[in-house]
Amino acid sequence: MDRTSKVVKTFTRKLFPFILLYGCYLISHGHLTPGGGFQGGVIFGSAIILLGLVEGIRMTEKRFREDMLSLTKNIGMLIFMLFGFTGMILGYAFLSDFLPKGETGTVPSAGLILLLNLTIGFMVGTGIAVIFYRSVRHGSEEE
Amino acid sequence: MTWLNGLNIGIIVILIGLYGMLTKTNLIKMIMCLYVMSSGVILFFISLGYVSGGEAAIFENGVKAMVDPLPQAVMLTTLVIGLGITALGLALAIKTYEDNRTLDTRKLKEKEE
Amino acid sequence: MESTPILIITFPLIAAFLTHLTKYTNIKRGAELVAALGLIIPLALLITTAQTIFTGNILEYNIGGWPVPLGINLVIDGLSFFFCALVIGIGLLILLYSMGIYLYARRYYSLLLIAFSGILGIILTRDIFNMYVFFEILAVASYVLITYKRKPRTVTASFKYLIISESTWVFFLLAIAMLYGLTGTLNMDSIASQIGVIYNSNPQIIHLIIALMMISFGIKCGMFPLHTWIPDAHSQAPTPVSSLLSGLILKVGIYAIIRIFYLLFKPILLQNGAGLLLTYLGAITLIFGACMALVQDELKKLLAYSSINQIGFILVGVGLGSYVGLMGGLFHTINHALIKTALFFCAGIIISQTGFWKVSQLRGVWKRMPGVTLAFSALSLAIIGIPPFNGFFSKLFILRAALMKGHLILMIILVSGVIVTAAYYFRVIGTFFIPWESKQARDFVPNPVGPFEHVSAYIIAAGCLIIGIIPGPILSIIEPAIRSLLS
Repeated sequence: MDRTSKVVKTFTRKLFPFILLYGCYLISHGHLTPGGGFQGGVIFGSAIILLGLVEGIRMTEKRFREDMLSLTKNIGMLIFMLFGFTGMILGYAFLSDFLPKGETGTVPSAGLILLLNLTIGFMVGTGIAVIFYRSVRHGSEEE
Repeated sequence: MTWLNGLNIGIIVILIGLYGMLTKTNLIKMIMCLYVMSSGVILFFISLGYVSGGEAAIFENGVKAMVDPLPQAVMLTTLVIGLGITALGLALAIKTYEDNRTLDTRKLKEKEE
Repeated sequence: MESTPILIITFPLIAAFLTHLTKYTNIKRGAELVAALGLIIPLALLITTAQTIFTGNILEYNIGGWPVPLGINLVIDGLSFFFCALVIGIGLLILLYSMGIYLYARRYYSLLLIAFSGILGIILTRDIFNMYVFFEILAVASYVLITYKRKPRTVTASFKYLIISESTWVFFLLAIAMLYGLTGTLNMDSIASQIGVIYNSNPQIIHLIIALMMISFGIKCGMFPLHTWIPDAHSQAPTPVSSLLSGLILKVGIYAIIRIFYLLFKPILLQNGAGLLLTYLGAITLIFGACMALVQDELKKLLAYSSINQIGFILVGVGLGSYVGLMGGLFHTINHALIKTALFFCAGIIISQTGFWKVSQLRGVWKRMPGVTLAFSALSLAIIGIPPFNGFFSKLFILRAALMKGHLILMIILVSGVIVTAAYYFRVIGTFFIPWESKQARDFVPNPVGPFEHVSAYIIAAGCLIIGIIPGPILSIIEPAIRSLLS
């Protein structure tokens, strides 16, 4: 059933990778400009939602399968814990900053916070896409 | 107009949300009023950290006064919590509508008895 | 080990996300094994710190290495140790009940472990915004757990709980905002050292903050005008979730009240009688819960109102503030948590075996299930306060504390509360022991109930009798808690 117009469909298909790129930019520059893990993750998830609204849920789910997104969400949480415990094994406290710091104003200058932002960004993005899939299929949310 | 700062507007928004929560009977309007109250508290808290004449809270060379970054970090967490609660509330409202075909709390109370 | 506090909080969280990954392995009941490990390891870690806590020291841990006014720190002291032991012990019993015949899905165990991680986070943290975040984690997990079986009434009950709880929890955030604006820090010890100065210059804003916090914590623990979500949510949830809600989440609200009043607002508590406000609200809650439980017909709703009744007792004990009062209040906390958990387990077994959930339909149940009915009767005697069981001693302590402070009207209210409790529990036991069954009960095909469910109820019933006869070990855990509060 094809009710969305041709203009919207073509435009969204061409624009989709750029929205994902913008999301990744917000996640990775969280310590230099306003942004960060959660904000970039929401943009990431809303790109997938936009594709789902335009193309239809069945087509989107063939490309971005729900169980893969769920698996990414769970492994993302375990990787977060792993980063925390690496600090503990090396002798510092939980979630302390043990990577070398670069010079201020460039991307690698945040130490551990950059890696944590990336993890949180992927978790939030896939989580929001999973919420969208479930609620469109009239299920209840798993959070 | 010194009374038009973020603190006072935040309290007014909380009170508007509270009024809506007390008098509306539609489930979805209740969830929206909950979100409005949450936004009011967020506005109040962020305005507490305002330093007049301060720059944005990112460290660059040659910056003299900076706004307080702690309320901003704390309120990001609160926004995420608000998102989770709103999504869960809307999912429960969808389920309630499917079971009972109504979203009005007075009719739901009659159905329970 | 010095990093024990953070390990106690993160192990259940890691186990919660690992239970999802057991989908890809072929171990039978793998999710339940991971869940059990996720609670047994924190228990072992907690026991290793027992030696340090009983000699009066505390265990502190800064997250990220940041020192106290800047960062979040976790502390195990006497009160936190007592509540952690209570929570992990009852959590293991709830897991034991869930592992019975009814096969709960993977997401049930993961949500249960997230709830436990949230509870342990509330108990161990010393940063007030961190406590807010962990309370929200616990709340979201419990909203989803209540609707595990998606019937129409469960969804309405969970929605009611969500709206009532969240709209008042916003006021707690407002109170945190005001405290931050006044003191400039979010750490409880730093705020406590500045409260005295602020109170002398500006007492009204401290009164406003106390009022907002009491409303928010009153919702979580079931004080009188704020209890309306409890009967629906506790009776519609599946049985282990009912005991989680009634046995643990109400108690964690009590813990938050104790921590906020005795750590943050201590000079005000001593000077102006904020404790007396708690005591009177507790007395009203007591009478209200008892009277509403007298007229209930559904078994689980009766147990939910009985929870409100006993929380009133605990609030009276905590509000009185003396050594004996706190001893009675904390002892009644652990007694009520154990007894109410087991009462919900017995009610769950009875309801799933006979198919009836109203007390008037459950006549003559003792012929079919003599063991469970006997356990239910023993536990009801314990919670009323009959001598060889443990409820007697905790209520005796609270009565003595009220007498020592000279509140005679309060004593009359407490004694009448005990009498009404006896009235409604004896009505239920009397219905169980009637010698004939109704015809529909004989025709019902029962759901299978395995050994795990029975064993968990019997363990707690036996434990109550043993604690009543030898209260020594439990009292020796409560001693460091009271010493750390009253010092």
